[in-house]
Amino acid sequence: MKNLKLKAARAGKDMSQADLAEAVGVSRQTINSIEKGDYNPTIKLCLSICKTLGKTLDEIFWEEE
Amino acid sequence: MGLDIMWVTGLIVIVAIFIVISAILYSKSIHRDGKKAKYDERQMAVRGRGYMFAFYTAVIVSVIPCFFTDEMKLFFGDLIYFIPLIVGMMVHTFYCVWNDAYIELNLDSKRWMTSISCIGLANLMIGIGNCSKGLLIDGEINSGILNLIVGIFAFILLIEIRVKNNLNKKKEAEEDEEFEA
Repeated sequence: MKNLKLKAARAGKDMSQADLAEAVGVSRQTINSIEKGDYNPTIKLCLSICKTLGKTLDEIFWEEE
Repeated sequence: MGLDIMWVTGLIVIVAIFIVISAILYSKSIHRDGKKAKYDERQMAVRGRGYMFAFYTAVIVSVIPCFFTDEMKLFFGDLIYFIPLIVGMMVHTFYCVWNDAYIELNLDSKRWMTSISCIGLANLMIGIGNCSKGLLIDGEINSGILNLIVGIFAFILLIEIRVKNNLNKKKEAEEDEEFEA
């Protein structure tokens, strides 16, 4: 399932996948995989992404039923 | 006998030189912006899966010689022990490259590829030298062909990395266009 919230939050911060990847210390392909829903990140990476984007875990990673 | 000792000494010296050059390149030059090279969590997970596939492949390939006749076992000689290792390595490498988990983060990939090219070239040269005595020696495959196989493997790996990099650049350009829109 695609993570459109992450994509929207990233675009809202005016960051490309490469920018976000650099900020959280992972590869661009990892951010791409998370956005496409191909990879489930660990809580550590989730927190790092949330802190970088200024969002909470719920705002980015909570899936609506 | 004297020639053999010289040949072995030469080989050891060449290998030692390449190990030293690779170690220097790895420890100093190939890290970008002074950052330590590392795999991220997705890359480590992919590499774990890669090791699993490589292990099963090596096990399956190593079972195949059980069905060989004695003549075939003689024909393949020592290669029977090395082929499963090389095939396993190939599976791991190609799987990791294709899933962007082969080259570490913060690694200068151009310099890394240069060092792999040098290692591949050295193996090709040694392999060609070995095979000049003939591909078959006393009805058995010349085990010196291993260097040739490793050399070819290194160049196939470089081609795969190049193809994958081009595909990634295309995807990145598409993503950037989407981002700008």
